[in-house]
Amino acid sequence: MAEPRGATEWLGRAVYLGCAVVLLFLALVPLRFTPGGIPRPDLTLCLTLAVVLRRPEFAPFWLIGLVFFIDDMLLDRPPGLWTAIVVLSCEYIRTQEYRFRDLVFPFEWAFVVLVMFLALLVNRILLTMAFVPVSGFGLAMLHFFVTVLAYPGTVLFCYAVLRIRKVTPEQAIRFGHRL
Amino acid sequence: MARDRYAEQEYGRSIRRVLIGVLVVFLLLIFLLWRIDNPRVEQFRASLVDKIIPRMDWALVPVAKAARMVQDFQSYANIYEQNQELRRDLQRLKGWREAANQLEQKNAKLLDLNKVRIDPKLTYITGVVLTDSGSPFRQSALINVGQRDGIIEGWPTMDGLGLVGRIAGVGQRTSRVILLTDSNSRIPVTIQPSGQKAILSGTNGIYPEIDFVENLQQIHPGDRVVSSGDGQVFPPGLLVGHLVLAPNGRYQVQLAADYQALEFLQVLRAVPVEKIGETDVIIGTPQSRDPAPAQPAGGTDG
Repeated sequence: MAEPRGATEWLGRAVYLGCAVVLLFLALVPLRFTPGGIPRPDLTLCLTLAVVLRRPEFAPFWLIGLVFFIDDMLLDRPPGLWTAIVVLSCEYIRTQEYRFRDLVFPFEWAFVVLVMFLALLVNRILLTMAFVPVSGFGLAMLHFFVTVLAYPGTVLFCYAVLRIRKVTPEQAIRFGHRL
Repeated sequence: MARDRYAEQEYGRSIRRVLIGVLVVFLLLIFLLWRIDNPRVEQFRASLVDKIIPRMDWALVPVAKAARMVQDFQSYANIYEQNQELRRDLQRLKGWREAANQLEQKNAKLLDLNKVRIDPKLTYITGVVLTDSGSPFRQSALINVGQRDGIIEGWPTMDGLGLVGRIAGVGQRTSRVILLTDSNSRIPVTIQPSGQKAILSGTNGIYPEIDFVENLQQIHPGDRVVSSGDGQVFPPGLLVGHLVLAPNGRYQVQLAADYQALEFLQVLRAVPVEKIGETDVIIGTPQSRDPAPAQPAGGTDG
């Protein structure tokens, strides 16, 4: 979908990519070598879902694929699988995006939590089926909860700092979105 | 006009679906390839890391330093107690130093008597830690030495005092160290003084666990754990840590290396693992067996 819809779209994509790079960078800063304690949330996932639910055109599927594939490679995860799952989840969320334009935040949060949970579950099941050793269930659940709790913060960040907000009806008509 | 636009949109949408499908299939193929031909994909990963991370170096180092300074600043609060503690430690250590000096002299005399030459095999290369694993499920570190510095996969890594991990994944300029705490880490160890052999397995927790001990009666909390030469994974005798007894009754190891502050790592040039080319060499006649093991060890050291 590379219709020339103006500079805003490309600016938004650049902002999304920039945030993802900064998050990757922060994850890589060598500070934590003692395991245990509370794991850091998967902020890249939160950011991606928040952007897709606000301005889907800022996070096209190929950009999400690129971001998560690089994350997979650099963060020592099994390459490709998680990226594929995230791309598919985001495409599903994209088709549902118009439902959440008028709804209050808790509904959106619940929906995102559900999608995240399913994505993690599918990831785990496929990893187990491919006989990749997976980490302990407790740690994975803790990581999931921390990520879920980080989602509202990410949305607030999108809203206040990045100024990525939900599409208003007249914008939707102007951009030719589905209503 | 409106119909045309609608048709165009439909067309665009279906193309998009195809593209997404292609992307997802491509990603899943990469995953399958990684499962089937792991070394090749890991090599690709190492070279990708090699391309990207050294470029982020200029930013990574100051950020890490600044964060450490903040952490250090927080510890100013209890500096008085620390000082007292250090004084006590110093007193104790002076006694140890005296003992060590005496032992060193004695050792030197004995070595002289025996005409023993110290093994020059265990030299090391020091690398700076670039990044951590960035994920709570993996415990690894990336260091700034790689193939061009002669790093070979499987070499042990220490922080000067204790064992930290082993090299897994070597790029041109960087290599990855799997820490002993990683849930995929398994190394053979010996528990001193009883000499029991065991396997140290990481759990993604602070204390790795001890598995496969022959006789649990012979080991006690506080025993020293050192690497054993079994399976030629590591050279024998590298300090790993001390045994502690977990509340659940299992033995764990408190690592000697200071995982709180891994800044520099020493990669030991370990003995190259013997490659077994032909099966008859193992069984073979004495004359074919004798020179073969001696040569690779002597040849590559100098």
